[in-house]
Amino acid sequence: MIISYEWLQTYFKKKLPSPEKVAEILTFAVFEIESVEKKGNDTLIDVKVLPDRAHYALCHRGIARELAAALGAEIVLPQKRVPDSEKLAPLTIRIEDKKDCRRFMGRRVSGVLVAESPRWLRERLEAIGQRSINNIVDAANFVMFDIGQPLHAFDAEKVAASDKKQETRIMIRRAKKGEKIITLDDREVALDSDTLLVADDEGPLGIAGVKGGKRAAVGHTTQNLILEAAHFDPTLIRRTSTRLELRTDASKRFENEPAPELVAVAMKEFSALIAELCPDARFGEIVDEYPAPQTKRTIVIRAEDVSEKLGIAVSAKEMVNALERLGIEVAPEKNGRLALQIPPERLDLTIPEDIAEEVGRLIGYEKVPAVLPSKLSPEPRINKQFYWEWKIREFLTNEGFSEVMTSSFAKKGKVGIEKPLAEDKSFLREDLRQNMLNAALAKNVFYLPLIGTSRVKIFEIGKIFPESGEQTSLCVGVAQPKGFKEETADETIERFRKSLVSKFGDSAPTACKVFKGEIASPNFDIATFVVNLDFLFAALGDAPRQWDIKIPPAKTGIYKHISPFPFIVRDIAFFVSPEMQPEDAHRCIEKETGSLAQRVSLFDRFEKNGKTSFAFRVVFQADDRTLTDEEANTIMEKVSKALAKKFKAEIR
Amino acid sequence: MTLENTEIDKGHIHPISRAIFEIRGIFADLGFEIALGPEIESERYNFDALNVPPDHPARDMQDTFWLKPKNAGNLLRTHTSPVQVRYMEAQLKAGIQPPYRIIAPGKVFRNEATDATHEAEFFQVEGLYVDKNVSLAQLKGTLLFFFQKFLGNKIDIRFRPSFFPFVEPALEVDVKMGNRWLEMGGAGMVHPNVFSAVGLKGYTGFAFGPGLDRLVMVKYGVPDVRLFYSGDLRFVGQF
Repeated sequence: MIISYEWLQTYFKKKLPSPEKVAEILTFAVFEIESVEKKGNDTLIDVKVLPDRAHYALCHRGIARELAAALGAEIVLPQKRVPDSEKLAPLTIRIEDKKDCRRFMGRRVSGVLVAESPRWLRERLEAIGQRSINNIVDAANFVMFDIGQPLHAFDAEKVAASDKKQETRIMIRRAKKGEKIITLDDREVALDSDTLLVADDEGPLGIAGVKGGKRAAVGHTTQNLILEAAHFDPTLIRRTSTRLELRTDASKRFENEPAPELVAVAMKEFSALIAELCPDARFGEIVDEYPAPQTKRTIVIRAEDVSEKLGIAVSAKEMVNALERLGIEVAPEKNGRLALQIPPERLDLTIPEDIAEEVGRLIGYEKVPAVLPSKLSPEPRINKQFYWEWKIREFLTNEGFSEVMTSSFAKKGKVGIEKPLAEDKSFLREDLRQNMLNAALAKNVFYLPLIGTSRVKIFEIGKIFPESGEQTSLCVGVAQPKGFKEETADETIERFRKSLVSKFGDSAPTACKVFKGEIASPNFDIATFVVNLDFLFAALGDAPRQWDIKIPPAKTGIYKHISPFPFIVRDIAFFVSPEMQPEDAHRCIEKETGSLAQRVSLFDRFEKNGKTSFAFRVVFQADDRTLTDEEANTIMEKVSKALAKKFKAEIR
Repeated sequence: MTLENTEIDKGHIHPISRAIFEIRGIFADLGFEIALGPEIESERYNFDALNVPPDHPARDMQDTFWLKPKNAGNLLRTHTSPVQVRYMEAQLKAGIQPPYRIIAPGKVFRNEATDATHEAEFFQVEGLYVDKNVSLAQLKGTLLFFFQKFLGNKIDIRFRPSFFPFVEPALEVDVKMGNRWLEMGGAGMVHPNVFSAVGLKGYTGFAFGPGLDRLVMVKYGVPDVRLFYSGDLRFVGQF
């Protein structure tokens, strides 16, 4: 909700604190503030009004009330002259079903002059991003953004009179199948019985609560009006605007259920504003169909309950003061109870817990102390599934496998998604293997020198979504360069599968599935196996009383940026005297290579003819550019020279 | 110095998993046990039982992935809060009355565009304490204890008013790291309608649900949430 600071100021006698300060006050008293932005001579405060307070706060007056409550100030309501009513042509209102429409107020106005709005009105609306249309439409919009009640004005001459009595009948009814309407924005909308209409004897005048129709729109030549202020069923409006994809400022307010009592306030203010803009206008009597009047609400609380819930000792006096600032009338009852008379617009306040929130936020949550709940006995149990998942993580990380997490969405699968984010995310994954093959394994093979391992060993534990429901799955994968000495990828995966089976029990063979020779690439081999963990765990016992899982400590305290630029690998091997320690050489190389070396590692070492040979690998990569071979070569020459000079190294 | 031989090196735990591991330990000291729930949820557990009725504007607060066919009412859970309901129901069915103290970590889904700070799939960790006379002060004490253990003793926390249908009062929790206040997620006192939905009378409680990805990003200075789900060992290998 965009709030104009200058508009807000009209509700206060005293100069308000700065917009930034107002934003801060609102933040800690009631609303999150999305932004504060200067615009011309005004400042716009974007207030995030959440659904609970949307009953009353999608407007300047609602925000002003909250600001006043937080400041401990009074708001000043605008004093506009309310026009006298006189007898104009008759107007009848028929509500077909009071569940759809709890209240509909209509009023004739004659002798208006449709013109451009005065400057102050244009500025108010334009400040909050609304386009000025003409004085009548602007008046309706102004009152809506001021007090939160949507309004509408029809051109009375374009509303049909019923044949016999020459009387105008406004009906609030469901649309008939096949009915159509052309809306104010020139859209033809086909209607059905799920849509509520404001109609006359000729047909639809507007889609109730959502959008006005073009037929009786107010234009330059309009002289006579029928004003509408109404309350429609919030759910119905929400469904209609969703179905027709017509989200309007009006529908947004109606679906949040403004108070039915507000309808009368709005009609009064709408009329007063039209009277101010068109001094010659004459106002008919207000016709008020109100089949389901709003009842007064009282909430009875005990001050001690509120204190106990908040965990702060709040005196009755403080509590009453906070509540009265919100316009709640407090009457003491017997036994220390308080009867609270809730203002009609505060439809969000229904139970004592709501009152605890009002008191807590106005007194200030910073006053709530931090208290730890007392210890419970017995000790917490250890969740079986959680325990065994971690037992697997412990086992696999001990075996050198690293854990990855990948997307639960997939291009193909068994469970489809209604409105997917992208075409390749239209389904839920039916296995972990595809992501492991496509994303994780193949990609990481390429980065092996940067990762600093000779092959890729990874696993993922996660939910998969086969035909029936969901399943917890494990996928283990190995990718290694062709010609890897010790064993093939297939042999590796078979070895770890056996090892997992021997550790996690007899059911493992049936829960396991091995995929050998996954990708035939000229450069590397891949193999995987997957395990149905639900099946595996079912055969395992309960978790022990004591948590006994250990994981390797975190390597880092702070994340290091991953460069998107290519890397260059250079090896250097040299003979030195046997007393020489590899650490010294390592330090020397790191010093010479500087920040461009991502990794310096010793990968070979042997003795020959009384000398020691070391082989180091340096991986170069810059954070901000692609390194050239020449750069790497130049640095390596420096390294050679430094090693030769410092350690009398003979470069091989 | 030994030769680099990665065959004897241990693997790395994903930082999100590591956070869950640490959180389990921190809350075990306060008597909280782990509870888990499914990622595919019914409308009842994800919304109705959590005081979010059908057609209520509060449903817009969480963009939902509905599963086909939509009229079956199945969805990807938008938060870990359904585990609160499932856990309480299961306990009552087993004849176990409160106190209940649980921590429920898990993956959740929101149908929103992805960028450096928003993922359509991410992790949340739910906390629930149900007992007689639970207070907001105890919620503050518990969260302060947790954030100090997880992020370091120097942090501070504060509450701001907010709205989540399943808690009342409802709060947003901020954590101060250095000179910056960072939003960490929602919390509040369990709404009586949630207790009614599971059939529990005469109890009070608090609940909270910070986003795990954000916690880990803050802890280690990870700039982009998408790194978590990249499968990239240049990332995971750092932890």
